[in-house]
Amino acid sequence: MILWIAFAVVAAAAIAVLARPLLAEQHGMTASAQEADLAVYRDQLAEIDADRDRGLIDAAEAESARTELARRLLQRSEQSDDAAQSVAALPKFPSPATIAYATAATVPILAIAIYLALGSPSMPGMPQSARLHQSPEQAGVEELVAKVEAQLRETPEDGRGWDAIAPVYLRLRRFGDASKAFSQSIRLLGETPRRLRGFAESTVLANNGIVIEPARLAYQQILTNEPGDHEARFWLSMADEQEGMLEAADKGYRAVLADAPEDAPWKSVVEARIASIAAQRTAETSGSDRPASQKPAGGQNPADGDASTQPVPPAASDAKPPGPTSEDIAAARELSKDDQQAFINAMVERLADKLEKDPDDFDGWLRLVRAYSVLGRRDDADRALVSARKSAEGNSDRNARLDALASELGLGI
Amino acid sequence: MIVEFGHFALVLAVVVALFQTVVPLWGTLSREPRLMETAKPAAIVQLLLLLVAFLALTHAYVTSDFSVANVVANSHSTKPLIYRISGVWGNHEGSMLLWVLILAAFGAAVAIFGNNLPLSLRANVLSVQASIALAFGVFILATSNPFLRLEDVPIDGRGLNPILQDPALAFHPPFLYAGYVGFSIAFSFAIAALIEGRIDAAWARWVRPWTLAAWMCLTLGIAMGSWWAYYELGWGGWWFWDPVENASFMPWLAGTALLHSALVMEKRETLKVWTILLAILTFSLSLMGAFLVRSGVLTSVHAFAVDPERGVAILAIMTIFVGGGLALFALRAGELRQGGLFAPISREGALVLNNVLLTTATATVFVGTLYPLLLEGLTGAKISVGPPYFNLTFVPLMVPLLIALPFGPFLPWKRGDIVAVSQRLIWAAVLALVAMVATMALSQRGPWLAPIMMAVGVYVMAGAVQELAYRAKIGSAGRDEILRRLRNLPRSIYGTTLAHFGVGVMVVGIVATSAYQTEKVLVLKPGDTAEVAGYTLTFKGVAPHKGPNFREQLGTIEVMRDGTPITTLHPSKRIYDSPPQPTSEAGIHASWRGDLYTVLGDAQEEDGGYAFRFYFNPLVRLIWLGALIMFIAGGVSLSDRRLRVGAPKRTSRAETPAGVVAAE
Repeated sequence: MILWIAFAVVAAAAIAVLARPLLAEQHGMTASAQEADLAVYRDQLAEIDADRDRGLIDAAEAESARTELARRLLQRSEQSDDAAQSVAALPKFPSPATIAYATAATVPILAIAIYLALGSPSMPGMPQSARLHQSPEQAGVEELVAKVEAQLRETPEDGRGWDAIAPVYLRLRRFGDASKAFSQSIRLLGETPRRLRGFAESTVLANNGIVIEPARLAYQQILTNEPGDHEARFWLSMADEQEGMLEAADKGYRAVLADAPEDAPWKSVVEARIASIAAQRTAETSGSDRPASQKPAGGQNPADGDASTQPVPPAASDAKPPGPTSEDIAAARELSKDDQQAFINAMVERLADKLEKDPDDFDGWLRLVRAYSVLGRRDDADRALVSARKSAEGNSDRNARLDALASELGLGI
Repeated sequence: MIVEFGHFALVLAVVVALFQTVVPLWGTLSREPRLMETAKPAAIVQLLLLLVAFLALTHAYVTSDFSVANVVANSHSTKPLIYRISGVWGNHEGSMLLWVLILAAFGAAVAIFGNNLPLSLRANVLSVQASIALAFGVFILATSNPFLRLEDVPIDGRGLNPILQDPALAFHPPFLYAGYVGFSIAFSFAIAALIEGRIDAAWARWVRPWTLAAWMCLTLGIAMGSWWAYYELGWGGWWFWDPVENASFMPWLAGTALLHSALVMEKRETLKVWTILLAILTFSLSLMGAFLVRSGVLTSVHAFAVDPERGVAILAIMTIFVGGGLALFALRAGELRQGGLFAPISREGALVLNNVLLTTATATVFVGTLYPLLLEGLTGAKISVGPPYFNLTFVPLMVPLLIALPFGPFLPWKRGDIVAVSQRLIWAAVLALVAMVATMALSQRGPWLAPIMMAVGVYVMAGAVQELAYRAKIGSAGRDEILRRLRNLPRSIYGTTLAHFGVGVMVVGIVATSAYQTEKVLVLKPGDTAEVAGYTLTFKGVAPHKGPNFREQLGTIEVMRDGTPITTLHPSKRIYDSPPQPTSEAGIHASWRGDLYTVLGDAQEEDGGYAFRFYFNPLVRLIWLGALIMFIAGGVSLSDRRLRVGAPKRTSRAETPAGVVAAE
C-alpha cells in the first residue's frame, strides 16, 4: 500500500510540474530568436574591442571584424522571427489547457500499465544484511547457514562457528562442507566423540560411502576412546571390505553382530554385508574370471541377503570384491585431499607417535604406511615400511602382507 | 520496496520523455510558447526520476539485494564496496541506465543553463534530446530491464568479471559514456537547427561548450581505458586498434573536428552546413560504438551483452537517428545561409585542413574497424586488420596534421601570411631539430622514422608554447608588459595552448614507446638475475597470498640499478573466488625515463623456474600525461567567460537597434 501511495505522489508531482506552463495565462515575453541573436552580436562586438585592447588582434583586423558584425547585426534586426521561419505554423489545436488535462490523465495510466506489466509490486526488497538479521523463526535454514557462513568468512578461526554449522551441513546433506566444518572444529577446539563421529560420517558420505583414509583414522580414534563402539567397528570392517580384505571384514562384521543389541535396527544391514562377502568369496573360489560389474560401495543391495542362503548363480556374482575400483578410491582421495589435509596430517602424526612408543602394533604400521602413501609422502612411507618389516620379523604371514601392500602401493622395498 | 520504487521511477521517466518529445516540438511547429515552455520542467523531472531509478539500483547493489536478477548476475556479497558500486555499470543493463541518466543530465543542463536561448531553439533541442532518451528508455524496458526480480532468491550472486574489478575501470565507463552521450547535445542542436530551417547566431557558441565537455570526458575515458589495458592485461601495450577501442576513438576524432569547425562557425558564421553534418556524424559514431559493443558483433572484454535481439534493437535505434538526421540534413541543408568568405591561407583555412585530415582519419579507422566485420558477415572469412593497416593509413594522415597544427593559432582570420608565421615558428623548428639529433645520438637502433617523429612531437609542444610567448610579446616587451599581457589573455587561449601542448607530449610518448620498447621473455629460477634496459632484476621467489576476494601467486623481483636497489616488484597471477577466473597483475616500476614492466608467467614443470616477460617502455607515461593535459585544457577553456552566451536584454524591440548603434 505504501508503495502505491509513493507511486501516486511521484506521478502527481511530475504531472503538476509538467502541466504548470500549459495552464499559465497567455505566455509573457521571453527571449525571441531575434533578441537572442542580437545579444550574441553585441557580445561579440564587445569581445572584438577587448581582444584589440589585449593586442590579440591588430587595429585593422578589429575594424574589419567590427564591420562584418555590424552588417550581420543590422540585417538581423530588420528580420523578424516569423519571416525567418521557413515552415508554416501548425494550427494551435488542442489548446494548452486541453493538453494539460490529457497529460494528467494519460501519463499515470501509461506509467502504471507499463509498470504492472514489468514490475513485482508485491515483492519486498531483500538486502542481504536484512535477510541475515531476520529473527530465527522467520529465517529459513538457508538464511541462517548463510549468516554463519558470512561470519566464518570474517573470522575463519572461530571454532564454535564451525562446530555449530557442521551438524547443520550434515542434515542438509552438504556432506563435503560438513566434513570440512567438522575438521575445522576439531582443529580449533579439539577432539570430542561427537565431532569425530560427525567428521567420519560426513567424510564417508561425501565420498559416496567409500571409507577413505581420514575417515578410517577417525573411526580408529573413536574405537580407541570407546572400545566396542558398534558404528566405528562396522565402518572399519567396511573399510577392510573395500580394501579387499574380505576375511578381516567378515570377522569384523560378525563381531559387530555378535554383541549387537537385540532390537538394533541396523542389524539387517550388517547381515547383508556378511552375506555379500560370502557371495564374493564363493565367486572367488569358483575361479570365475568373467568381467566385473560394479556395485555401489557401501550400498545395501537386497539381493545380497539372498545370496547367503542360496547357491550363487555365477552370472549374478561379482568376480571382484564389491565397492569402488582403485580409480574411484584414488579420485575420492584426490577430492578430499585439500579439505582434509590438516586433519589427516594430525591423525597421521598421532599414529606415528603411538607407533614409536609401541612398535609391535603391526596393523598400526600397515595403516601408517598406507596413510603416508596416500599423502604422497613416499620417503616417510618407505621408512614406515622398514619399521613394519622389523615388527614383522620372523612372521611369514605378516611379511607376505607387507609385500602385497608394498607392491599395491608401488613402494620400493 | 526501494527496488520497485526505482522501477516505477524508470517507467515514469520514459513516459515523461515521451511527453517531452511530443509536446515542445508541437509547440514550436504551432508557435505556441506555452507548449514550448514545458520542455524545461520536463527535462528536469526526467533527470530526477532517472536519478531515483539509478540510486535505487545502486542501493540494491550496495546492500546485495539478490532478489534483483541483475544484482545476482553481476555482484557478490564479498566484493569490496567500490566494486559493488561500479558493478552497477559493469554490465549491460546497468550501463544502459547510466547511459540514459547521462543523456537526461545533459538535457537538464541545457534546460537549466539555457535561459538565454531562444525559446523555440531550446524546445526543439530538448525535444530531440528526449526522443533519444525515449528510444533508449523503451529499449531498456523491453530488452534490458535491470529491475526484474527473481522468485527464488539465491543466497549469493555470481560476481563481477574479475578483470573489471579495478579502480581505473570503475571510472572508465562513466567518463566514456559522458563523452558519447555528451555529443548527443551537439546532435540535438543540429537537428533543432534543421527543424527550424535556420541557425541562430548563438548556435555555435552553444554547441561548443557542450561538445568541449563531452570531448573532455571522452578523452579521459579513452585514456583510462588505455591505461587499464596497459597495466591489467599484461601485454605491455597501451593501444591495440581493437574494434572496441576504435569504436570510442572514432567519435573522439570526429568530435575533435567538430570542436574546431564550431570555432569557425562562431567567429565567421561560415562552415555552417559542414558543422551541422559533423555534429550528426559525431553522435552517429557514438551510437555505432554502442551498437558494436553491445550487439555481440565483437568479442571482447567489453562485449557484455552478447544478445542478437538487443543488437537488432540498437541497430534500429541507430538507423532511426542516423538515417533520420541525415535525411533531414539532405532536405534542409540547402536552406541554410552561408557566411563570410576566407582565403585558403587563414585561420579558417587551417581549421578546414584540420577538419579534412581528422575526418579522413576517422574514415580510415571506420574502414579498418568495419571492413573485417562486413567481410566476415558476407563471406565468413575472418581477416584481421591490425596495427600494420593503421600505421599505413592513420599515421600518414597525422603527420601533416601535426606539422600544420602550430600554424593554426598564429594565422589571423580571413587571410594570413604563411611566411610570417613560419618565421615565428623558427624556434620551435630549431628545438625539434635538437630533439631529433639527441634521439639519434641516444638510440642507435630503432626505425629511421622515429627520430623524425620525435622531432614532430617536440615541435608541436614548442609551437604551442611559442604561440603563448608571441601573444604575451615575450622577447620584445618589458617584464611588466609581459606579465600584464599574460594575465589578460583569455582562458580559451590558454586552453588552446595547453591542449596542443598535450598533443605534443602524447606524440613524444607514443613514438618513444613504439620505437624503443625493450622486450625480454625468459625463464628464471629463484635467485637468478636478468638485465633489462640498465636494470638488474633478481627473482626472489613466488609465494601464495590471499586478498579480499582472490588468491594469488605473488612473485618478488628486486630491482637494482648501478648497484643501488630501486624497488621491489610483485607481478602476480590471481584467481578470483567468484567467479573463479585467473588474471595476471603486472609489476610496474614507473619513472620519467620509462616503465619497467614485469609479468609473471607459468611455473616450469621440470626445474622450478618461472617464465617471465619483461618490458621497458620508454616515456610511456607521457601518453596518458598528454591526455590528462588535454582534459585540463578543456576545463580551462570551458571556464572562459566568452563561452557563456550573452543574455538578451529585456528591452523592447523598438529600442534595440538604437542601443546597438550607440554601442557602435
